[in-house]
Amino acid sequence: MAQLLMEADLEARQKGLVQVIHTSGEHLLTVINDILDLSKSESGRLELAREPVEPLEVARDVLRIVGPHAAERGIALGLEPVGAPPPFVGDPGRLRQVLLNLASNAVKFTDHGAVEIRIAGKTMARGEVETVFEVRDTGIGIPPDRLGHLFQPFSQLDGSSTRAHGGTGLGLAISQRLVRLMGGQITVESTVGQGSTFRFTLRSALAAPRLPTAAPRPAANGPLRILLAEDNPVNRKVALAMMERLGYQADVAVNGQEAVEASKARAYDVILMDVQMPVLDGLEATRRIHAQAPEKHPFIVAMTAGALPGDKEKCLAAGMDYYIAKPIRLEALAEVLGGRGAA
Amino acid sequence: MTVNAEAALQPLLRDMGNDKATVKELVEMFLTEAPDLLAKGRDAFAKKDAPGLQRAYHSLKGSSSQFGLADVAELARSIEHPAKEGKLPTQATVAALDAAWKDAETSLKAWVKATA
Repeated sequence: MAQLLMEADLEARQKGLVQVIHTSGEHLLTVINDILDLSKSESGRLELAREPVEPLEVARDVLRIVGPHAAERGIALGLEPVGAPPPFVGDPGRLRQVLLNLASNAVKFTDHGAVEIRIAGKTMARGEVETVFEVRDTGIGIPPDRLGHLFQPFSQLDGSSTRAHGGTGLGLAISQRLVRLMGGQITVESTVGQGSTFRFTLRSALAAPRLPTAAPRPAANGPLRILLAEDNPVNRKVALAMMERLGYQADVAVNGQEAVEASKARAYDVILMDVQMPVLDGLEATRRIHAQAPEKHPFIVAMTAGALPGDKEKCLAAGMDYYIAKPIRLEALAEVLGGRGAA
Repeated sequence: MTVNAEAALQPLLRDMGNDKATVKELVEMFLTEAPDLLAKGRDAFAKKDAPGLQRAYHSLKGSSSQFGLADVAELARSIEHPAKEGKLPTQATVAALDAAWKDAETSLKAWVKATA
């Protein structure tokens, strides 16, 4: 109702008031849903689905949802798969709820730097899969004396931070209960001023992998001008083959210097830039590309493998717009290229 | 630490729409590249050349992870990151990586052979 009213022809002040009603209503709904979840999980009436879970897909969904808020706050988001986490049997919706809670908290409590979801999965004996989920941030951190209270309902660091950061204070309590239902336990490591890592491990049966039935549709409106800057010939070939499957073609540069020169000769929409390259690395190449076209530079995507803490910040500081983790995955390419529209 | 090539290649196969011919071509290319990178790595290790080590194992980490070789990628990473700060690995780590690669290589070669 409030939403309908917002679309009506109102004065600015009235619109503002309706917005408040709408936001309050939404907030109340969140609180009610949270309390219902909490009481259900406490009374053991919460049942988990048993479906195939593709952990990376769930994490990508979560990053998409928190993306706008992170962008607003100037926080970089990343997904770092360790190896290739296999699909397992579980409840994708509840897993998403937990990761979403952890990731949106991380974004909320991080003023600069990055939030990253790291997933390591391996197949164990007897067709079991063990998957370790981590949500890491470079945020304000949690003082040691507060760590113990973190998973209690209605706990946020203090009154002032409740006001500054919003939320019901129930999210972590619910997440912990959900993870326990899934057979795991959320633990936290945190250093005040440096950031926090929330971690849990799930063990479940291996699920059959899903094969995509058809290639995603190519961009409908005109070819995207793409430059791939990557020094490793095998990785280059893999990335080109994936782009071909997605209906894209790319020019190639084998080091940063070539990337700078190529982008002088042609206006690219997107540059996929390996960070570590000989002659000139991706960071310096990015700075030079910015310098030679300060008004309209291409969307530069860093490609990093098992980066060190701080590497992502360096990419952003150099003027890169986004990063995707290596190994490069089709979904990640489709997402980053699909979102770029056409020239 | 036996590598199952079929399982390791699963994500790449999936990304390639199960186009085995293309994946086979990529694997063959990788089978040529990786021994070369390992040789460069060993050479840099013998010369205590940390930047050389870092380059070789960085590259190996990148491509081996693309082919789902988690052990090789992790060992390469464990050499690469300290080398970035000038620290050299132990002989045992270099040997462990060589052994992990031998395993992976055998399995990948068998996969290539079985994939017409």
